[in-house]
Amino acid sequence: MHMVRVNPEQTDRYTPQASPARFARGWHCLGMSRRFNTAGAHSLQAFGRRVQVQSYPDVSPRVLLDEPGHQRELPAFEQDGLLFAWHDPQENPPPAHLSIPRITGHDAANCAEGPGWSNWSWKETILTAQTGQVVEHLVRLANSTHVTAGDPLYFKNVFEGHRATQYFEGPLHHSYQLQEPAPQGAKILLANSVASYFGPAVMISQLDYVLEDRSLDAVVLTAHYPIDEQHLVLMTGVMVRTEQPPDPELKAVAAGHSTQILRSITNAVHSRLQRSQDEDSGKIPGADSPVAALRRWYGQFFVDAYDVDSGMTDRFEYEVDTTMPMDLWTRSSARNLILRRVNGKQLA
Amino acid sequence: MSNIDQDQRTETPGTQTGMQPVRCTECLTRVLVRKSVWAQTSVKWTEEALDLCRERPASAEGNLPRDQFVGCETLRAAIRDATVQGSLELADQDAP
Repeated sequence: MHMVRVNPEQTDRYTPQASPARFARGWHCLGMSRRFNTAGAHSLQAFGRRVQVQSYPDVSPRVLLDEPGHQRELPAFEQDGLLFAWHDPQENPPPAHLSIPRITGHDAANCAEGPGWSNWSWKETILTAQTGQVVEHLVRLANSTHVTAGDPLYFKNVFEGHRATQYFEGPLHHSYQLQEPAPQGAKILLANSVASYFGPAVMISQLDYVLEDRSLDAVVLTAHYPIDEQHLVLMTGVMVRTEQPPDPELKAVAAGHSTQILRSITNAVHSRLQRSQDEDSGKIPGADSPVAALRRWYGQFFVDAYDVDSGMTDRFEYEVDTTMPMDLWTRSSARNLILRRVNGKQLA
Repeated sequence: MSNIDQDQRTETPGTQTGMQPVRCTECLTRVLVRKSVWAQTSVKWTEEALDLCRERPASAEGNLPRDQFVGCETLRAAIRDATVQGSLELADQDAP
């Protein structure tokens, strides 16, 4: 397995493959926009092509894709300090309802009073993997080593339209714990997170962590873009809610967590690639499994817009909830409240 | 009252995957459900079923992850009761 941590500017050394692969339709994050802010042309490899980001003073950068014989301009925008580009093999403009939501809202980073958001702590790496293998991370939590058997847990995947969402509430697995915490860093006892893919390549996670001594409110952005069929750039950014000026300890926590998430996803992708070469290779997941649901959903980004069907976009929920055992449910007040409302009478 | 349509079971697409139809007690929307064990539930909606749901329009929805519609609580209760009553079978009978 080949994996290197590099400055993404160096990705030019990968020569895109000659065969015309199909890359996903959707918004892709190309990285932090300040990387492209110096006037002039910045080049990177993406979608099997050379991509040039042209920057100008006081206007949004232009993203140009080198096609044989000409350059194609990709729709692009800057938001939350990040540069996004719309890739569509059919070259249609991006529909408005597929936009990436703004993270910081109106109470953004630098408001003078009260807590705001820290700057991004940002990490990038190159993976030898296909994009779908990274995306599957979203559904693997329920039956993987992330969860310790016996712990109370709420986990849910919801697929609908262009969004795929994961709800998680429970103890955080050790692979996500900070390996090199700040001197006074505390263990994360409980995590409550909601994460959504908006299209094929941009995931926003809203996290509440309960630490030994306090709670931490964070946003994590996980995104990738394909270099070619076999390589991709994986990015993670972490923002934490903090007093202004930012608490230095929290900044350290954000930086550590960003590294940890990147490492955890990278390790998960690697071990899964390894496993799939061994015993898993012949197994086809059941049609109601979250992996199958994710693959149906992910398929919509690789067919022409006209060929997207309801099987790819209809709402599908997969839930694991160990917080409400059957005997508790049969005598719970929650059940009676709901049924009383439904039936208009008190139940025995 | 049972929340499940026994008679339609054989005709419903999805039953080959062990999914069984369940009606919500509030709006009579019908979804396909598979419970492998008590703690695990898969729900397949159609566009028509979503249009019938009364709980969803009452919730304030947004695009950010925490602002999205998590699911219909009334339907969740109906699925749990169908399981308690035995009309919705657990697919993995041997599991606890």
